Amino acid sequence: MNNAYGGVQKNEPDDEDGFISCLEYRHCPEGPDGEFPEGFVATAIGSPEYIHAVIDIGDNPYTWEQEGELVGGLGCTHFGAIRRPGAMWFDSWLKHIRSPQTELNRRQSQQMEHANRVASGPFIYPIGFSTFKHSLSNDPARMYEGPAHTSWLPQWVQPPQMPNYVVEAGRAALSILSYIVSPFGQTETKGSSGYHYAAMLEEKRTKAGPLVDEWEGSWEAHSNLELRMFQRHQGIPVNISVPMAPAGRGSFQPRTGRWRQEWYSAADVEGDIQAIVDQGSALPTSTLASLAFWAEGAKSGMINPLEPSIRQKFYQDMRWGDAMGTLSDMRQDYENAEHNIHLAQDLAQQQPLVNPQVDDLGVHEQVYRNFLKTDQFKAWNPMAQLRLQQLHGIVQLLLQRQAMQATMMQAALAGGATVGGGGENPQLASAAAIGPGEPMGGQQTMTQGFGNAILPNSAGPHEPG
Amino acid sequence: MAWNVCLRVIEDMKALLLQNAPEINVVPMNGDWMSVQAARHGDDVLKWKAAHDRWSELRKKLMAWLCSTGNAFLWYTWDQNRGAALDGEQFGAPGQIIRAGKSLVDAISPMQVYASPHATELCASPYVMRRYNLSRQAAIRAFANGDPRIIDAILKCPGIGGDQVYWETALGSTPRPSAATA
Repeated sequence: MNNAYGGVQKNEPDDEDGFISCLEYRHCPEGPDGEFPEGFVATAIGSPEYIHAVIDIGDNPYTWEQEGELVGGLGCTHFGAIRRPGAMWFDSWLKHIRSPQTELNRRQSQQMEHANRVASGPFIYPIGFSTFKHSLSNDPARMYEGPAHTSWLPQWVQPPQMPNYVVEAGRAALSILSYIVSPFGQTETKGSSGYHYAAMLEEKRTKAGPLVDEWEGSWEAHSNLELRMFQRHQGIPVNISVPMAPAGRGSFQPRTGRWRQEWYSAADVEGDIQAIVDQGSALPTSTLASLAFWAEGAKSGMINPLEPSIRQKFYQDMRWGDAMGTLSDMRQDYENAEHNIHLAQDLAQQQPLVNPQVDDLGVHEQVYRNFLKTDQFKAWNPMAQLRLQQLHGIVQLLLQRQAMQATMMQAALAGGATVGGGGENPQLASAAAIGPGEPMGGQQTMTQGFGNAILPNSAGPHEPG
Repeated sequence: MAWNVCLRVIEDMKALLLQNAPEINVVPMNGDWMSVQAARHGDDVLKWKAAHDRWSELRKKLMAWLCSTGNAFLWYTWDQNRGAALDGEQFGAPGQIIRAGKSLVDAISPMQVYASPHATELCASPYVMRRYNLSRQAAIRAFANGDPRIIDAILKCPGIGGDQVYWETALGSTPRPSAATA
């Protein structure tokens, strides 16, 4: 069957013919005894008033089997704002804020009208006393004749005082609207600490929770529909481009650019799978609040900002992940570590290498350790697994030696020796030596003993791919 | 004078829902190795779909309808006659061109959608309808497949956008303008 691809094509010489109205009708499957046990899809043309002709009808392609039953069939997903119990259609925010907005506008208009009257009020002058009439104003609407006994001189007409209820009603309307607005627009509020920002964020999450939950539930339903349709219809393989995660985020793929090409068909996604949406993922997060958290965590000593994995997490949290190359020298280390995983898997390649004088061993250890836990690693050839485990063991050994070296250096410094990059300043030397994960280039004297013991086949420093 | 607070509420709602894209992952529902692999591949498929069908644009369209009406729909369409053209030989059909199939997703207005008035949620409705306007040529291209009966029906269908339909329904015997019945 041929489904409707709606819309008017560009450059279509249809103006003389006009347009017709299409109605696509999708019927869900019913039970085995029902009139339409498998459902159907039909398209009719006509006008808003009546159906002219049914031009297409066929099987329902939007169903799938679940526990032996045919389910689905509508092929569309509903997104809503404010749920109403017992009703399919959701309410809109506009519906609820329209009446306070109308009230606010009315009161604002009344106040401004009053202000205009006060600012340019009319004059009253005694009947027959027109000597100064035109010198006050040429606007006849502002000039009133009054009885002569009131005064012999022209006077301002005082408008009545603004009733208080007008002001109060305006304030009430504004406060209702501010309550709706405030959880999402707090840019004017100034936070004073991480805790303050956290409280603001918490309030925002609480108030927006139901809305985000609805939104994510709908995305989940749509994603599952996409998966089921792929499982049902994509019998012929299709070439897809999968975006790769940036380096350092656990992509573990060979470096073929930012996209990799795959051929997938229905058989590749055959299985009991489900798409899920991370709760709260659509909530905006305050980078400022996160920054305050990090600063307070580091200040209190709960977070060690020098640790490579912590630094990487920090960059991700600040959404600087893609700028890691600018902000840190670790990006190449992450890429090298991932490339080493690729080399270890391919037995035709040489054994992967690390160079402790150049590479950040902490980063390498973290990347290998994380990968060793994955199912992907468990599916590898045993020889390839051994190669990566060997490499991980070597890196761990080197890290231990670095730590031991740092201890020795501290002991030497405590004895008054001046060793290492710190020169005559013992504090500098100590700090340089114990920096976790830092390359050991600054301490040539101490590292030369095992600077070459880095790899199984001693082929020299690692060349990034 | 008026302070348009509605605009700010709506724009704040849009900012809330558009700031971060939903993070969608595919997970296996059991420990079966096949399901684990399928979940990985499904994850790739959804990432491709998101890029290929431009979900970022769909989210904006959805939000525009959602904020103004409280409802919006993603309308999914599958067409086996579209998609990449492949040589049928490798699929056991030598000499034929086989289509890989193609899906289309569109964010549509709730004014286009009709469901059962008795349904308390969309998935409980036994049917759903979508109404949209199409030029005659586009309708012929989409539905006719060269069938003269369908082409004839499309050409004879009363058009919209003019007042011919309303004339006919209101006055009964008034003949339709010739352009619509050509």
